[in-house]
Amino acid sequence: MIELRPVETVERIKPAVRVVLPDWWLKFSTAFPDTLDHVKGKTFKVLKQQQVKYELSWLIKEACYKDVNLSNEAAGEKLYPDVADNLYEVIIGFKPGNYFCHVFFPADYPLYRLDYPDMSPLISSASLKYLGAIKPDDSPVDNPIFKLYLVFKLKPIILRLYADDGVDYEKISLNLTINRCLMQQGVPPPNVTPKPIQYLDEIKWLLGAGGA
Amino acid sequence: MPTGRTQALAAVAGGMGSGKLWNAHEHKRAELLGLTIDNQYTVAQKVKLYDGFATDASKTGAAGATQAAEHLGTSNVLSGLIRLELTVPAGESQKLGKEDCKGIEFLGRANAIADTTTSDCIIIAQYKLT
Repeated sequence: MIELRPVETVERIKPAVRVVLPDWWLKFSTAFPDTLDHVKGKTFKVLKQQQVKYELSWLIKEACYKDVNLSNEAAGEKLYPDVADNLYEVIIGFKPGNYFCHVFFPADYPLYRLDYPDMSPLISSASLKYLGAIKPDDSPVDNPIFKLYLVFKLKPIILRLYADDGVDYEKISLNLTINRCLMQQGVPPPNVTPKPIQYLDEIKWLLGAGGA
Repeated sequence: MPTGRTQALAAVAGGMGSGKLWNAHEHKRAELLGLTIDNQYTVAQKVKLYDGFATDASKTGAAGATQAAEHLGTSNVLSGLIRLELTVPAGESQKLGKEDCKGIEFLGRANAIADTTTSDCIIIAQYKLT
């Protein structure tokens, strides 16, 4: 007897993008520098929130890169909040293409690297240019997972967008959702665990919670 | 699915607005889905589809040397990139379907330029902005 059995399948649930919502509590790490003392180590309640969509694109020649400064500096894209009680949760989705993105914070200091001294992203190296690179598939426009938390006076975050070899020219398009959050400092109820907001240096150097 | 239509224009008439099938979208690229060339003119026509755009200034190499912006097809269609070239005999029509056009993308504006300026050769393109 032949038993025809259905092929086993795994149900895949596409995770929805979770954004910071009103009434959420946020706790900023003590690793934030003193220059950001308006958030350093403090806890806030999100009062209001608004999501703003934005698109940015660049046409770049093969094997060339563009440094995109997200800050409010003159040459920046001005995606930072301009007041101390705002948090911008920026979600970045990459449109398909033959390119990748390195993240620097502050300028010249890559966010993603390994411990060995030379194991740092290097755009002129055939192998190291792929180290720590975020590819469009990693945070596609229909399911973006690349998030940045931006506060007033934060040092500039630089996205280095590189048109990889293999195409003459590449159009690099970013879909951004800027979740503007109005915050109010306070003490969360005992049954609420605030969402921790780490300083980027903690991610870079794998520091413990609170910058230990 | 948008459609672009133009009549054959020769290279001598190849200014930016000549033989335009569609304009560039700031944040999208165009994928060619189908192409019809109806050449009722008296001689064969070689039709080229040009991709016109300007690059952004960027950097290159270990020292981050400046890579100046390039202007491809922004002042003259013929300086753009040729994405497709097709010769259609006199009095004939040729049609490319989705499979034939697979992978043909335009980063910027699309222009069709032929051998001769004539209203007897019509070029129709279907495309999708992505």
